[in-house]
Amino acid sequence: MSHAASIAQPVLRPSREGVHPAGIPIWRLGIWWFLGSEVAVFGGLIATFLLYRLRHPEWVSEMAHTISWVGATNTIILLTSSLTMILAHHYAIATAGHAFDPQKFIRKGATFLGITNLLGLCFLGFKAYEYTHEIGAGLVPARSLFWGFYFLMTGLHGLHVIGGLVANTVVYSNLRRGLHVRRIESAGIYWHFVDVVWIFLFPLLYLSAG
Amino acid sequence: MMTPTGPIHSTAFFVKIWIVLLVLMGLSLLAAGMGHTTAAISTIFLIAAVKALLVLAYYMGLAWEPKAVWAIGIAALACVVIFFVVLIPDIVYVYGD
Repeated sequence: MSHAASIAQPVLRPSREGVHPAGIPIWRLGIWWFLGSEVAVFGGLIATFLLYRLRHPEWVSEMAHTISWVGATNTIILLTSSLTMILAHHYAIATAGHAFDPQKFIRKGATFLGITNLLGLCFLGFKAYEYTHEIGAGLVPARSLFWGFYFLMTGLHGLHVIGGLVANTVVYSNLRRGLHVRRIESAGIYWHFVDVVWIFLFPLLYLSAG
Repeated sequence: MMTPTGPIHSTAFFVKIWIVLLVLMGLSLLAAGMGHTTAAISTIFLIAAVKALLVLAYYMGLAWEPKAVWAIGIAALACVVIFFVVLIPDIVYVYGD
């Protein structure tokens, strides 16, 4: 090959199956792309709410009707569920990968994943109590656009929690049988994102009323 | 010890992050008790941003991901910010008000 031809050759990296050239497994890049789209969805909703909130300073009186203690409890529940989820990942993958008896740690990871799901169900239970109380008190979208935003944002978030619970249940079932252990990483990244969304929804809807 | 997904942390590390998150949540509740002032609201959202970054970096493992992954989230956020700024004249300020 001539010198000019060798310069013109593209630099080829050694290929690694299942790994993107950026150095990240394809399946993990995929979950991050999905979460990027979720940032656009929830970010768009939050941005729209902020725009209308700036237009309607009188919404402060509506926001005062949100049940702050339930919001705070739900925040603690989700933060704790993030802890149990990362511990599930830690035991199922990081520790099991270097353990003498990996199955023992994978089952421990499954246990923590089960606790994460229980906490998720608690979150939905408190949300159901909240919705029942608010709808019963006439705090509905017909009363004010604020409540339209409130039920839309918290409802969409709640649907994401339900989706996460379904995914976690499938992964839990896999872990109990020692199958597809890596899936807990995708499930974990998604679950933490659901927590991050709530980290912003809580102050937005419950705390900024003063 | 490093793995392809990042360093292996002890369970104590993740528990410490959780405690910091709870403390930050407590601080934001205290700030909410200070009334509906600009300083209080700014503090509350700044604390929320710090909490989100902690979860993103250490629970979601973003601290050990390639910069390309950060670019995905930042690009989406940039779109949201542009969306917000562009709509301010239409929604926040209405002609004639």
